[in-house]
Amino acid sequence: MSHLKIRASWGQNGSLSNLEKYKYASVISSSGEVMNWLTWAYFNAPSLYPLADGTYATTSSPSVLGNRYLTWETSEQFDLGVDFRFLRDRLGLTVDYYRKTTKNLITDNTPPLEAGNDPSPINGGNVLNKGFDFELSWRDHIGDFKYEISANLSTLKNRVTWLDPTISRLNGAGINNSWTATAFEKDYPVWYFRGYKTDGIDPETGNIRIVDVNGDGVINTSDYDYIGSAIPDITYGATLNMEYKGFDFTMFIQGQAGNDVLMGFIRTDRPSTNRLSLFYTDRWTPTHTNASRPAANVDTEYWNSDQMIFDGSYLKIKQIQLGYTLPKKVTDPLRIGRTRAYVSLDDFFTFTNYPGMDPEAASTDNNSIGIDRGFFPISKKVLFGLSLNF
Amino acid sequence: MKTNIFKPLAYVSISGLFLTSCSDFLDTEQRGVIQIDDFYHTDQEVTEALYAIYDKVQSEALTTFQFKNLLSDDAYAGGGGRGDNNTGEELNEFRFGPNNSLISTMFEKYYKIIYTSNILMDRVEVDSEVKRLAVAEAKAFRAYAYFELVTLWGPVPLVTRPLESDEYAQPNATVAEIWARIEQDLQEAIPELPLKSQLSAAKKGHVSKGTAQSWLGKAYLFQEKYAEAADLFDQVIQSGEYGLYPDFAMITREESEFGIESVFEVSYAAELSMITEGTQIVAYCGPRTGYFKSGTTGISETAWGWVNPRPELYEAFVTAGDEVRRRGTVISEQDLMNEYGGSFRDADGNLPYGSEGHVRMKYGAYVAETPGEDYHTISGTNYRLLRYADVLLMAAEANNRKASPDDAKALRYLNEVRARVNQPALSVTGNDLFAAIKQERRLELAFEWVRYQDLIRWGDAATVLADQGKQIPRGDGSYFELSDAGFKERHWLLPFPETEVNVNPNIVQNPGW
Repeated sequence: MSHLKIRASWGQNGSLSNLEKYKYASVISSSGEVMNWLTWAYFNAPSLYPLADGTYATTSSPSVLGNRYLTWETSEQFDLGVDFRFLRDRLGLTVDYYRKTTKNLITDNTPPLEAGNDPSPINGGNVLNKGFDFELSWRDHIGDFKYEISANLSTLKNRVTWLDPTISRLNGAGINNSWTATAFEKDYPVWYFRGYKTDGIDPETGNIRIVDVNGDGVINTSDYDYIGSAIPDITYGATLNMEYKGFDFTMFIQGQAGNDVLMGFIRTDRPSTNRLSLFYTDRWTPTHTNASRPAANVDTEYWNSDQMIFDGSYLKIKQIQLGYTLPKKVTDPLRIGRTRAYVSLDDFFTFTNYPGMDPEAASTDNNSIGIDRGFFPISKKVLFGLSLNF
Repeated sequence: MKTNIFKPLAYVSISGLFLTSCSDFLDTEQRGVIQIDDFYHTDQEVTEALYAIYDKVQSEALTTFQFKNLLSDDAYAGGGGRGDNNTGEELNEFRFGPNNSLISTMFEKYYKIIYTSNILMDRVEVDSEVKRLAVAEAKAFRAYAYFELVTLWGPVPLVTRPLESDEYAQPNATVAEIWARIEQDLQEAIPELPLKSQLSAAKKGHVSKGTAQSWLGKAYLFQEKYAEAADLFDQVIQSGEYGLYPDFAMITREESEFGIESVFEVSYAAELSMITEGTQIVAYCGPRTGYFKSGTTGISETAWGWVNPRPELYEAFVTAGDEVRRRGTVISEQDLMNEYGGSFRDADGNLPYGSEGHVRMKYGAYVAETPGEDYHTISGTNYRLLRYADVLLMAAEANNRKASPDDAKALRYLNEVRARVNQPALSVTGNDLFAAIKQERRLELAFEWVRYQDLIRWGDAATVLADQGKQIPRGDGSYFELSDAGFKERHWLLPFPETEVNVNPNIVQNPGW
């Protein structure tokens, strides 16, 4: 062992980054977000009222409910780590344990409707993130051939540890106007997926069986339950660098495992719109009752259930780059500095079981993480480059 | 090592100066806005706050029109095909659940009206005539919103002041408490409000004494306090402030706006420079484009067909021999072709989905009420929340149903309504008169948002709406058969929205939902 370091750190910082300016304040507003029915887009317009004599009256009311108890978020992070280096600094290993508690997380609120106005942000709850970071690296050379391999892996456990007791849960993102699919609730990961639980396909009708979670004999939205979480169990990456006589090669891999993706681009209000063919190919029919997907006329609850949750684990080779730097013997007489040409394959290879287009292209909006709304997938790129220094 | 003590000392003392005035230095007020504590003081500010309540009543025009009409047996929920207007279909066929967005939007709308009224009453110090009047109008609107909530959802939370953030989760109130609140608000408002004739031209659209009296009478009627209701309606009728507009066909058109029959209207405008002040009932609720040819009806040919009349309504007019009101409410495909030179079939000879060829003339999709066919999403047709004919019929019902009935008076009121449309006077009494009044309400007030709540309070909803939605016309002569449609036991009360039940641990959902 050539090097050993044990370190520990603790820090606390406050943050308002989740908060837009003055969003805690309730000010009097004479305009609001309304739908422009000529363009079908929302825009900010004065709120007027037409009077009987043809004139228009200004209307003024508080813009939001206001929250005068709003305070900043406090994050407390504790970290304990060990750095090892072996074999004359060629082999490196780092192990870290981190524990981050965020108190008074600033979140959007979804107050009960009798509050009567648009919500202000609140200090919604406390969130705990904890896990381990590992990093392993090997750096060596054989003559002129230099190489370095490093890999890292992080584990993450995320949980809401406290929520204002007057709130049972915060509602999150909606899908298709009819399914509030994410929620922020005590003892669950942040913005976990919430919907119907299913219990197989009825071989006689081809319909999906929905679990009556609260046992009251009726299937309705009170039977929503935890059906998945977009927070990955592990994230990992690896880098490979090689250099030999002016050539350089880099490969960079990144991946996640244990995260769920909610396929949120199926329109359930329009029965005759396109679906992914996977819903069709192995569907139940009277002659094929042993199917993995229900019949084509399945109840709408199917589309708001755990059947829309898919494993979003993926491994992507983010970059493979090969470059060549002209030797100094050639560039110096020409009075140009470092010249390098390269070719790169970016985002080229993806390995995943997710049947949608791209498990990474899911939304990253606060309460919409992991929902695939049919965003354009990250495209594969082939890049050629030349860099000249003068 | 020589330590220079002065440098660090200087730094510490300079930073100490900052620390003392830190908090003042860092406090920056938001510019260009009015803080809530600085408002609600002058007459001008209170007037703007009052119009904010009107604005909330005016909001969600399309949702309100659909919600109020599709729950009744006046209409089919149509569209380009089945599923085009999914939320409307669910309402019309009584197959909806707590996640229906029309229901949650309306629930939210009524509480926004209540909040805007509460905040005005909470913050205004009544020291002028303008403020006294504003508070009275706010009370009337709060009562109106609670009336809608209690008759549709039953035991809703009762909120009478702006809530603090730790009390947003309110429990259900009892139906009795809510009615008591409605009565008290209106009783306090009535003496303060002016008569309709005392309103200036600009304020013709305001709540008047007659409005509040009629709303209070309606509240009594719905609670079966018939004698009190009859008294109040009599006051409105005796005041001489109102009359019946002679031309029934124009009852929802621009020419009768804020006219003699208007007890309260929600104001809309169809001006291109004010595109947010119109409704979308022409664009969305008129007869389906691609099928409808207007002939001389003046009705838009580019509408989406979301609210179509049912044939039973047309038949009811025919059976009653009610020519004038039939023409002013609904025409059949035959009428359209023979009298107006229009048509309602596509090239394949099909009607649109969700229609049997009838065209709605009341709150019809008239192009004249918009800035033009290209701007049909901005209709200026005012919503007549209450008109005098409705008051007369409610007065007739109250007088007929009270403990010592005054059928003579009831007949007088009923026949006044009938005379306007050349219907012969009736002379039945007792239960026959009650049945006649119910039928009269159906014919007079079709598509005017009262049918569903009437059916609920008469206890007739379970019979009249039992098969509603079981057969929906495809347009080619065949029907969708929906065995799970129709009014059921749990439908006497609408469900609390899913979003409400999700976040409010103190609310109890209505039975069966």
